[in-house]
Amino acid sequence: MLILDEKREMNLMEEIKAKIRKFLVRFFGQRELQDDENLYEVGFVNSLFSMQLVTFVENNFDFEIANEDLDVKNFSTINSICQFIKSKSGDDPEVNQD
Amino acid sequence: MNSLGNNQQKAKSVKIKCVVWDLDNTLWNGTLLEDKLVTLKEGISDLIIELDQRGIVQSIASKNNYEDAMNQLIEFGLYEYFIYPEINWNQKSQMISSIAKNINISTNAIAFIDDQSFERDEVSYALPDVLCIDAIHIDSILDNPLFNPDYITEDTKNRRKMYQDAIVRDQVEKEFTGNPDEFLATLDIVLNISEVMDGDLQRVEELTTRTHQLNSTGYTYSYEELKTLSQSKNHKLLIASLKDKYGSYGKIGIILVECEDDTWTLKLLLVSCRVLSRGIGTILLNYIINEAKVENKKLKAEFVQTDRNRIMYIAYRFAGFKETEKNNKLTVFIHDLSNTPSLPSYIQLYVNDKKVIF
Repeated sequence: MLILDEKREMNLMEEIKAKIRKFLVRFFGQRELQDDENLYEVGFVNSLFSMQLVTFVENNFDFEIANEDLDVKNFSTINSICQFIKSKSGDDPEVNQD
Repeated sequence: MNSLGNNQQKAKSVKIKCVVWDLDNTLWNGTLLEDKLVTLKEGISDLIIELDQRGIVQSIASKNNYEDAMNQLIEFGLYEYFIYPEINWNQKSQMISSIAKNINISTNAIAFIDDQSFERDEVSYALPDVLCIDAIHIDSILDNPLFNPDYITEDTKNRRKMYQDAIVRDQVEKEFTGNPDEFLATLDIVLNISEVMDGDLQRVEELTTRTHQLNSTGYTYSYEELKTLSQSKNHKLLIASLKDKYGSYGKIGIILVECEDDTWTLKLLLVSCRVLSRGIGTILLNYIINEAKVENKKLKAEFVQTDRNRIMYIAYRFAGFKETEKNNKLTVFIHDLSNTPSLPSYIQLYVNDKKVIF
C-alpha cells in the first residue's frame, strides 16, 4: 500500500510540474528550464509575469493565495511552485484538466 | 435632454478618452456601398483634428466593406487619425467592445456617434456606459465638458502617435520567434528618472488621477500640493519617462518618497498601463531600494490595496517588501535591504541625465 501511495504522489508531482512548464512556455519560449532554476534570474520577469503566475496557480489548483504567501520564494523555481501547491492543497491536490 | 440629445447621466469625472465613429451618414454624407459619391460632412475634418489635439483617440465602428471604407478615408486625408478601426458586419456593440479591449480603456470612457437610433440603442443595451450620440448633435461635442480634458500636455497631443507606435511594436513582438526577453533586448529601451519640475506637474497630476492598476496607494495630489512637494527638501518627487527604438512612451511613472532623518517612506509609486509589460514598476522599486541602501536609510513603503492593484502588491512583495503594520486599508511595508537586485540588462537607466548602473 505504501509503495502505491509513493508512486501516486510522484506521478502527481510530475503532473503538476508538467502543467507549470506548459504555462511557462509563453514567457520563456523554448528554453528548457531546470526544476531548480530560479525563474527570476533566468531572464527577464516582471510583475505582469508574477501576476499571471499567481493567477495560473489559483485557477488551476483551486485555491486562493493569501497575502502572506505572496513571497517570491514560493514562486521562484518549478520545484518551489510545486511544493507550495502541494502544501496548500492538503493531501489531494486537484489538478484541473484543461 | 442635454445638448448631446440623450438622457444619459454621466459621472462628472469620467472624461471621454475615445470617440468611435460610424461612417455612412455620420462621418460622410451618403452610403459608401450604394452611392456613387460620398462627401465629407461639413466641419468634420476640423472636429477630428481638434479631438486629436485634445488627446482623445478616435476609432471607427462601421458596417461596411473594409477596403472600400479605408480607401475612402485615405481619400479624405483622415486615415491616420483612427486607431483599431472596426469595419465589418458584426454588431456595433461587439465592435466597440473590441476597440475598448485593444485600447485598454473602460467602455465608460467611450463616446459613440451614429446617425441611426437602432444602432445607438443596440450599443446602449449591450454597453450601457458608452455615451451614444446622434450624428445630428455633432456640433455640440467640442463645447461639452466631457470632451474637454482638464489639461493638455505634450504627451496628450502625442497620444494617438503613441498608440500607433505601440501597434508597430506589438506586431514586431508577435513576429519575433526568440525568447520574450531577447525581444526586449532588441528594443534599446531607455528609462529616464528625473526630479519633477514645474513643466511636469500637469502630467504628474494627470497620472495620479488616471492610473489605477499599477498604483500603490491611489493618493492624489492637487497641482499646488505637487508643486510644494517638488520643492520640498524632505521629499523626492520623481518622474520617469521611457523610450525605445520604435518611439517614445512619454512620461509613464511617478515616485514620491518622504525623507526623514533615518527613514525613507515610499508614499506613491505608479506606472502607466501603457508600459505594463516592460517591468518598469519593478525597476523603479529596485532603484529606490538601491538608493536607500547607498544612502544608509531605513526603507518603508505605504500601500493601499484596492480590487485593481494586486499586481502592484505582488511587485512590492516580490521585490522584498514585507508587511509590518496594517491599519484598516493602509499597509506599511518594510524592506530589510539585504537583497538589492540589479538593473536588467535590456534597459539603460539615466537619473537626472546621468547614466546609472546598479
